Parts: sequence; C-alpha cells; structure tokens
Amino acid sequence: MITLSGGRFRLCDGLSRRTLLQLGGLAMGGLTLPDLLRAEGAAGRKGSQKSVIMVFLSGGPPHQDMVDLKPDAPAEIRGEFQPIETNVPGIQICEHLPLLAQRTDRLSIIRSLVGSEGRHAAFQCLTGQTFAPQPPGGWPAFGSVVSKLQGPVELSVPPFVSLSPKMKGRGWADPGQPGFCGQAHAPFAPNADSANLQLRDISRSQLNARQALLQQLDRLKRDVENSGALEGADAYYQQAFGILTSSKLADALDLEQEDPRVRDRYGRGSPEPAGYGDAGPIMNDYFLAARRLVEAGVRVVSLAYGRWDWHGRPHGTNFENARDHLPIFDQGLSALLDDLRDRGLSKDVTVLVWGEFGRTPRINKNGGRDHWPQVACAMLAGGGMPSGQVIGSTNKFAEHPKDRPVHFQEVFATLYHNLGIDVESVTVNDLTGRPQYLVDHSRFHALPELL
Amino acid sequence: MANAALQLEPLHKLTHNNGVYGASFSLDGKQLATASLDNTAKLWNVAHGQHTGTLKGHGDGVAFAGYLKDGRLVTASLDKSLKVWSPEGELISTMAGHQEYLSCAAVARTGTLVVSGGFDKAVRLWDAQSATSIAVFTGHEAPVQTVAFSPDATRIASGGNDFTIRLWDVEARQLRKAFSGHAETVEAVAFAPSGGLLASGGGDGRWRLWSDEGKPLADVDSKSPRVKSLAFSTDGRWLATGGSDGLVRIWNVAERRELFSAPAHKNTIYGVAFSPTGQHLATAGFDRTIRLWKITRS
Repeated sequence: MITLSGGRFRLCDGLSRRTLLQLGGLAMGGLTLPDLLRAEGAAGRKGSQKSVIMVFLSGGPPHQDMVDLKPDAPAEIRGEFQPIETNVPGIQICEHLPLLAQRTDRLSIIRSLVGSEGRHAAFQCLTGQTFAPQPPGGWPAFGSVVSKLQGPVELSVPPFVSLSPKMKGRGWADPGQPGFCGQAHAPFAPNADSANLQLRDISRSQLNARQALLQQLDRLKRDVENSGALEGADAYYQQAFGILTSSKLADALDLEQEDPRVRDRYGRGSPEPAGYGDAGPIMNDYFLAARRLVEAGVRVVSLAYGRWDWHGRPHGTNFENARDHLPIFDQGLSALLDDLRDRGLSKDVTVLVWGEFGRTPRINKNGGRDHWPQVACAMLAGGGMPSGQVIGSTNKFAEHPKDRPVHFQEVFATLYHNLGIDVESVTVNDLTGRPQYLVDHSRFHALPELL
Repeated sequence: MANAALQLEPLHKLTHNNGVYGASFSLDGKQLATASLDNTAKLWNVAHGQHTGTLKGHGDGVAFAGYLKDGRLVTASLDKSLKVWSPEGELISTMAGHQEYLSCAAVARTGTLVVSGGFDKAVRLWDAQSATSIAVFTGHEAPVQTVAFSPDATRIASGGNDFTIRLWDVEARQLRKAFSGHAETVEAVAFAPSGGLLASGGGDGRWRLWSDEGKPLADVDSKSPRVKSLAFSTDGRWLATGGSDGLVRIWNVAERRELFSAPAHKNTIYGVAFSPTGQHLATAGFDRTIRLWKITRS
C-alpha cells in the first residue's frame, strides 16, 4: 500500500482524511503494481467501455423489509414496515426507500434470487460460484475474469478495482480473488491495507511535482533496500510508480476534487466500520468513487457496504438496524443512479446490488431475522437493460420463490452479456489447462427480461 | 407538544458511529458519558457539547456508561465484561463473569457497587473498587434487559424477556419478590430518587408504577409501541420515557399525565437521563445521536 498524505481532516490517529487516500494496495497474496503492469503490457486498450459496479450488502439484507414486503402476513412475519407506491404502477417497496421508489422506473428488482450457498461471505456475490469445490487455482472474481478477457481500458487504470475496506469480518472484506486468472488480475484494492509500503510524507499536491516525488521515492527505496524489503524487485517496480504519478487513477479516487454539492447528494457517510467493528462502513463516498472510477476507465468496481446481518438484540432489532441503514443507502444508491443518468453513463454502466442471502420470514425472539438462503433479492440498473420491472415473486410469507426463480449465475451471465462476453462460448483455462466456462452455461443464461 | 409549564429546549446534538445505548450524567451534572454499539463510550462537556474523551477497549457494543460517586467511570459491554476507568479515561480494571451477552448495567448512587444483567439470565453484583464479583442473582427465565439500584443501594430491580420484574435484596443477596404486569419484555426499570416507587416500561408500550415492594399502582399507555427507556427527575415529580417511536415524553408522575412530548430521534430511544441539577435531559437513540435538552419551566 502506498499512502498519499497531507490534507484537511484530522483523524483519531493523527492522520488526515487525505492521508488515507491510499493507492497501490493490491490485495490477494501480496500482488504488487508490477504484477498489474505485466498484465497491462499484454493487453492495451480494447473495445468500448462498458462497466459494472457491484454493491455487496455485507451480511444478507432482509428482502421482505426492502423490496418484497408482505403487509398481509401475520405481524411476526410482516414486521414493522409499510410498503409504499413507486413511480411504476403496481410495484411497491419499503417506506424507508422513498428515493429509490421515485427511481423504480430505472430499476429491475429480482424478488426470487436462489442458489445461495448460505455462507457469510462475499465470495458467491463476487464469483458467482460456490466456495467448494473449486477448480485448481480457485474461482476468479467477476472483475478478475473481465480483467483477464478484456484487459485495461488504459494502461494506467486497472480494469478491476475493489473498494472493500479492511474488516474484522474477513469473508465480507474479500475484495475478490483472482483465482485461476492469475495474480495479475487481482483487484486493485486501495482500501484493503494488504501491502506494506507507505509514503506518508507525500501529499496530493506534491504528487504533481514529480521531482519531489522521485526524491521521496528514492529515499523510501533506500530505506527499504537497507531493510531488505526490496530484494527481488524488478524493472516493473519503476513502472509501478507510473500509475501513481499518472493523475487519472489518483484523481478518480480523490473525492476532494468533486463538487461538494455532489458529495452531499450522495450523502458522504462514515469511514468507521459499521456494526461492531466487523463490517464495512456505511460509506456513500464509495458510490461516488465507483462512478468516478468507471468514468476513468475501470471496467469493474466492487464495494462492500454496511452491515446487514441483523439477528436482533442486543445489537438492535432488525427494524432498528433497517431504519439506520436504509435511508442512507437509499440516498447513496439514488444519487449514483441519478449521476450515471445525468452523465450519460446509464447505458454503459451496469449497477448490481445484493447480498449473500435473504432473511428468515419469521422474526426471532430478539427482534431479528436470521439467515435464509432459500430466497433473496437483488436490484439491477443501467447497462442499457430494460427497467421498471419486478422479476420473480415469492409466496405469501416471502419464504421461497413462487415463480421465476433467478439463480446467482443468471445474474452473472447477464453482467457478462452487458460487457460483451458470451458465456455460451468463452472459457478461461484453470491452472491445469482445463477450460472453465464462466457460468454453468448448460443451465444458466443471461436473464431474458434484462436483454 | 403540550403544556406551558415544561419545555425541552434542544441544546446539543452529539454523535456516535452506531446506535447509542445510554447516557449518564456525572454527579455535578457537568459531564455526560454515552455508551454505543460502536464499541466505545464517549465523554462530553454538557455546557458546550464538546467531546472530551473516548473510552476504547471493549470488543463489542457498550451497553452502559456511568459515573461512580468518586468520578471514576464504569462501562459495561456486550462483550460480557465491565471496565472501570479513571476520570481521565485510563483503564483501571476489568470485570467479567457473564456467560452470554451483557445487556444492561447500573451504578449505585453511593459507594462503588455496580449491577449488570445479561442474556445468561443472570443479574450480577460487582464491587468496582476491588473489581470483584460479589453476588450472582439467578431466577430470571429469559435474558435480562434492565437493572436498577434503589437510591440507598439496598435493593436491585431487574426485568427482562420473561416479562417479570424481580426485586433483589443486596445485603441478603437473595430474591425479595418477583412480580409481573407487562405483556411483553420489561425493557426499563427505575427507582424514584426518594424511594418508595418503582417505574417500569415494557415492550407492550406501557409504563407502570409499583411500590418498592412490587404493589401495582398505575398502568399507563405510553403512546409509543414500545417503551425502551425511562428515568425519574431528581425531585421525583416527572418521569421521562423513550421508545420505538423516537419521541421523548415527560409525564407527571402523581397524575400519570403527559406533560410534554417532542420528536427527539429517528429511531428507538434507548436511554433517557435527567441531570442531577435538574437542568438538563439527555436522550440516546439508535439513530447514532444523543440529544441534550435544556429543561425550562414557566
């Protein structure tokens, strides 16, 4: 990780907010910037820029309290919230999502997501695959596959960026493994805190002064060489700093450059971990950063948002936590949808929001809802897809699909389709050289409702 | 809003990074300690609303933060432990014993006694001076959600998910009486400062008055679906209640009549506290905020 310092906000550890503009922290097995450059060297700019923003609601959001309310169910099932009308006649969602209700014409809501493996982790939402068994090398994250198949749009901009921060809940913090695509296709993970180089004395403004930067780097290099940390570094090390000194990625991640009114529209949020220190922050800046990154040329941006694992007291009831999370999530996602529309990106950028599973229909004795892999929900927008629709439905208690069950892999097939990747024919070899399809194409295809 | 005789004037809005479970004033009323699901307790200057310190060290949400008579602080956490801190915020000692989530605690107005309740159905009595366990009271048949000391610290009241209220004798270290009335979880209990009265609030949306021997005296609709917190004013004339509707309400205890209500939080109010000076009220909400109110009377 390389940290650019200087700035305005002081944090409890004495560092500024800008200090935490961290570049170069590549996750998964200590991948370095040179690894990325090697991949770039083999790639180059390709095709039009279609991109995907994947929002992972860590912990399993309550489908029946968000987009599939059951007001006629008994109290111990229907919960505390009322449905409200949306701007699409006949579609209702939760009263605590009023902004999204006004934008439902730009959403497709899946109410019948199935196939969850029931693990408390981002893995399935990042790869589309179950954790076990895995082929040699492991299943790659969606972004890693895209990186492998399409490469970077620009040499100085990585194709796959994960904004997932460090969390105690490691399964939720997973930025996405490159698997059999290889380490060169691991996500650029500026928040992962997984590498170990820090330039704490370099400010953002200094970054533009190459001379100052080089002096700092030289000093750093001497320091780490003296410590032996740079043994084995190759020529790509020098190129790695090209990314850092290229303003495009740095600019995309520097939200200080954004109009403050835009940040306010998104809702900003808090960088502190949500929940009890084990989950990602409720950080609406991530939505804005995602938009800036896809504009800069990133093909896939993934992020983890909040803590949605609401088992109940003493950590607050499901409904208290929902009253806490839903309004700010409503604001952030709505702002993203508006921003993409206003900037002409709606046709090119697909937005996907979901979690690892749904929640139990019956409210437990602590006012919570427990894990429910039987059915879950998802929201999709943009990507030139048809919208203003609900796909699938559940039975009267939101226990299981009533019609049109949608598998995780159908959603992934749709994402690949939106990026121009044909899951019927494209394969990537695993580490044994065996071709692996991106989804089980004999069973799952892009959702026809979204084509 | 109603009643010209009593008003709450918003003074400060303080924040945590997660739901706030409680607020307690120092004995001189100048400091406020707040406990949060963000794993910390924060200390505040009441007059200016300034954040003066953060107590970090618990591994889960903090359910309670309060002041001992000598100015030291006690925190109690869902991590099953209690911690004693110096007035400057330095950790002095840690006490542990609950087998499941610790959900509530209280400090005696006099001395160094501390009581806690937990999901292990136990009520535990501690001495903060020696950091030792004094007694474990068992009898609740479900998680304990609330505990309180009587003004002279000779009794403890507890309530919880078994819908009962239990009175424990501190000296004899045994149950004095168990009684019930709420149709849902007993969420809050508080003794009147002058003794003689016990108030309780429930998940049934009602608050009740009892004699300090458990004789029922009143059963009042709180107007909130769930009462989560309540506190007597220093003179015992008023009762503040907070609940799932986010409104703070002040009641005339003798008349069982609502004097004042105001929207205070966007989520459940987990804590209410009158300052010992009678000048301020603090409310703590799951909306991550603490509201400090100035009490005015005409």
